[in-house]
Amino acid sequence: MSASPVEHREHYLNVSYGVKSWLFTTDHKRIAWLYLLSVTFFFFVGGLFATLLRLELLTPQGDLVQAETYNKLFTMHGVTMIFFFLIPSIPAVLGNFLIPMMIGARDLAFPRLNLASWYIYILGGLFTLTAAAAGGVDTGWTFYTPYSSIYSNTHVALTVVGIFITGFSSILTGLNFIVTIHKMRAPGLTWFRLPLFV
Amino acid sequence: MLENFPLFPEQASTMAPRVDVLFFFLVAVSLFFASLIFFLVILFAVKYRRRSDEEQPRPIKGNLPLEILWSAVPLALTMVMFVWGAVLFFDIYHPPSNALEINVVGKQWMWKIQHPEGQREINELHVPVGRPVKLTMTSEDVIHDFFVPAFRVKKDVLPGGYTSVWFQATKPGEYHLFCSQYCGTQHSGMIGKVVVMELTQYEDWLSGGARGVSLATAGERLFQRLGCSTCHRPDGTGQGPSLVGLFSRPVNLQGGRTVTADEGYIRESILNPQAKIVARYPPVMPTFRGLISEDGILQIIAYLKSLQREERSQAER
Ligand code: HEC
Ligand SMILES: [Cu+2]
Repeated sequence: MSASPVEHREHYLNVSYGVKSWLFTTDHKRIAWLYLLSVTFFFFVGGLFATLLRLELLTPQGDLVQAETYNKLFTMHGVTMIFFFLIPSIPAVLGNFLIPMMIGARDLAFPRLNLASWYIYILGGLFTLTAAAAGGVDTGWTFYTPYSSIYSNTHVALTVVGIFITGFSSILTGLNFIVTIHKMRAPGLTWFRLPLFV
Repeated sequence: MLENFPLFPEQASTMAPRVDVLFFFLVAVSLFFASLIFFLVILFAVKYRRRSDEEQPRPIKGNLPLEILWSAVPLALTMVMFVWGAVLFFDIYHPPSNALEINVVGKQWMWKIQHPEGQREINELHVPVGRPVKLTMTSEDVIHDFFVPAFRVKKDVLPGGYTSVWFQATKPGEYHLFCSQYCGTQHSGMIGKVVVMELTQYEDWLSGGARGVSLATAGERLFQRLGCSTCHRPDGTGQGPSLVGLFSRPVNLQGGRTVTADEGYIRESILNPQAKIVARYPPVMPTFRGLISEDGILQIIAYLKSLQREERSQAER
């Protein structure tokens, strides 16, 4: 078998190389990859908390961690998995990657805003991870008041600030998608012909 | 058949079999459709697979009868679920009027129970078998949740107001009581038991032990001690309205609104008197926030309820 000469085709992965080309990219597929890597990172952080929970539950006694730490672990498991894995996963990863392709657009309507959304998300994540490292929260991911407002003396504020910041990332991504889908569909792609995912 | 379904808590209240039947109905419907869909997905994948490269599928232009069918059948089924569920929900929500009334106060991390006759217990609730029991519940701190799996009752217990739940136990025995709303460090230890007794045993239990004065009497004492009685005289000659016969009566408020004087209204009148002003009275009642405990408010409510009964029995005479 002779190796057939491979035609060099330029695409989003080989158009440029290096960390900088990724961190300053405005390409929707590259941003999707940034999100994929970061939600995977948070998935493992959340998974680590869950592993500790399950290890503790091997025996009825509190031998690995006591109630207080246990409550912090399941809270931070919930917070990480819900706000930093689940919520960004489908829209930010698959949405960024697929929506422009599915509607025949070159990119999202606001590519730089798209990159900004990712940085906002990371910033929020850093706040919340800092809160976890500083001692964690124990309110449960739902943050029910008045437990979270008056009765808990853990790092509620810092955690919530992180989630609040990350919320803006979702809002901006959503805005970006809405404008893109309204204004940048290929000619002839009417609302009724849109793929179900969009 | 459903009595001893494995993996299920035993059924020990009148509501339990009804909740379970609904639950099993939901599971059966879901199972049926899940299997049907899985079966069809596999069947269609095999049946309509591409057999040769030339094969082109015929375009489908829609099928109105089929669309109507798959909209109408699920609609009918979900309406059955909705109506059935709603009827059950209302029955669980509305206690029968002859129910025994017991107060429950949740706090981090215990259940405090007050019986009308004055018994108090912690993390234990004694009730007679075969009688409806209504619990009036509140919390001193955070949100808790009163959950007795064997009775299939579960209700949030909130600070700042009352919620209620009722059940009628069908079998004597001891049943788990859980707090099922995460409420802080020792949440998992906020457990207790409900002891269901034969009526005679229950009466023995009521009369034995260290029993204090009845709730209504305790409430009356508090009513005197806090000075409520200076303004609220039975004949209505004080600054405030007479509270005799107030409970569960409609009250005309300033501004023309009418509310029913239930537990929540009385609690609010004591802690936040300015919120609702009785028509034709000056807003002079001071707040008693910080001066009275949740237990104390429940005692005063019991006292006001007892005033009601006396008035009625006098009227009957
Ligand atoms: C300074 C006099 C005063 C004192 C003391 C006082 N109240 Fe009042 N209360 C009033 C007045 C006046 C009203 C009617 C106006 C209003 O709704 O605030 C009232 C209204 C009420 C109502 C609503 C009555 C209705 O007909 O709807 C309740 C219940 C009540 N008070 C309970 C209490 C209790 C319990 C205490 C003691 C802890 C208390 N009050 C102490 C003056 C007083
Ligand atoms: Cu609790």
